[in-house]
Amino acid sequence: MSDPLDDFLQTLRSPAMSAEHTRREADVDAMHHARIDTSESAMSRPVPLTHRRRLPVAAVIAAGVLGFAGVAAAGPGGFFSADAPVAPDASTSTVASETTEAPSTTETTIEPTTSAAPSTSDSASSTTESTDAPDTTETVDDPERVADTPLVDDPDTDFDETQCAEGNHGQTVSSVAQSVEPGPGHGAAVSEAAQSSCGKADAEGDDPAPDITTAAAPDTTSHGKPDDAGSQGDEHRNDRSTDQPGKPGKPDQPGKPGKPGKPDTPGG
Amino acid sequence: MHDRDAEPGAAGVRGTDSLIERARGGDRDALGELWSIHQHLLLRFLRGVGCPSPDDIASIVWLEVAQGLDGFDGDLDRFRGWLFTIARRRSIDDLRRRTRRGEASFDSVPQPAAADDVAETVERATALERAIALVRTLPSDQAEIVLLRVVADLDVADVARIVGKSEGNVRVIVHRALKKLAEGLRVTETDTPTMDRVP
Repeated sequence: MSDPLDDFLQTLRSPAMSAEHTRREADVDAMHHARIDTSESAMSRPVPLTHRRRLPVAAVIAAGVLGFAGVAAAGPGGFFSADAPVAPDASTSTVASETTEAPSTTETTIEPTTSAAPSTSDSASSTTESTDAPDTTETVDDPERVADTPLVDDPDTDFDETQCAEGNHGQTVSSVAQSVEPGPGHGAAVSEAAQSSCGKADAEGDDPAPDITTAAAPDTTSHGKPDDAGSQGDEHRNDRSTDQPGKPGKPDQPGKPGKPGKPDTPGG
Repeated sequence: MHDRDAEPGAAGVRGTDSLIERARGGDRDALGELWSIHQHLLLRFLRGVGCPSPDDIASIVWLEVAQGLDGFDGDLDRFRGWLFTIARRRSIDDLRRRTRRGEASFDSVPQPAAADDVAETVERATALERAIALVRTLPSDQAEIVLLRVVADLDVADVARIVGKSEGNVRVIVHRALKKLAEGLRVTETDTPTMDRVP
């Protein structure tokens, strides 16, 4: 390029002249005040969630949700699945109790599952059926389910008390407990019904593993959703009540992945 | 064309990123320093694109800069690009507003301040005025791009981003503009005496 052009470009870039800085004070004052106003307004107003700030907040929320979900998922299901050796024990004990009718084995297998819940036995609803002491210890073995049994909540059941509830041993025992007059023979009658195989038709070949998972499920549902716990709890209550006396029960288990209790309910 | 690194100008002030930080914090001295570094370049740009009142527009630009410093993130080079982006928008707004009102634009010639060496000041002011006047003979897009490239000392990528053209297009426009300026300088040198030739 020619020198005149370079000189020309240098002229355009030449240092400032004093005439170009006549407004310095005024402009800088205005900028300074603008900065102060901006800072004050930024401090006074609530901090908006900008895109950069939303990201960590969203991350914290997501982590919290995932953590809670993880704990919830790992709580009952994960715990029991981790305790895989427990399942075979339960199955063997179930089979053993089914064949040898050894209630003691059933109690030993049930207690670990219900040990998480305090054995306060939810008195109000359960007292109606368990006024007699010794035999009701079996039902008290699983207090939550006994407490919510439909004997109190659903007295208008269609169940025929004189017959076994096919596939529902618990309902059978409950009906016996309701039908027999309180007195000296009440406990014995209930115990006899509980130890009988009435309603255990579906229990054979049952897989105990789902029973364990269902045993844990009502704990969570009953705490979180009272209403839902009522509907779901029926199923589990039936499971548990069938588990109680002879443990061979779990007649609902074959249908457990879906809605196990319903098809087996006496009314159906 | 010319070696960018060897040229003085706004790009000569480097390593002053903390200046922006201080200005963001409301430091008046930092704000004044930022203003001093860029004000004359800003005025030349505004005058070169035909802004009738470059001082007023420059004040508006600086106010907007001060208000938007919180959202700015970058070094002094990026600050200069940001500053001239605002200046270009404000100058366009001003020209449109005046066009709607039917106001005629006028050349704003800086008045030389009283200085010790009046002759030198007058000479510099006249040379600058002639240079800006020559730039204004260019088509508006060429004048704008040449000013951003030469006065603001922005690289091709920044200029392309500011004016919304491709880098290749900017290079072509700059080449054409400099060619025209060179021709204009030759004509001016032969027709009009420069300050050097004034006895």
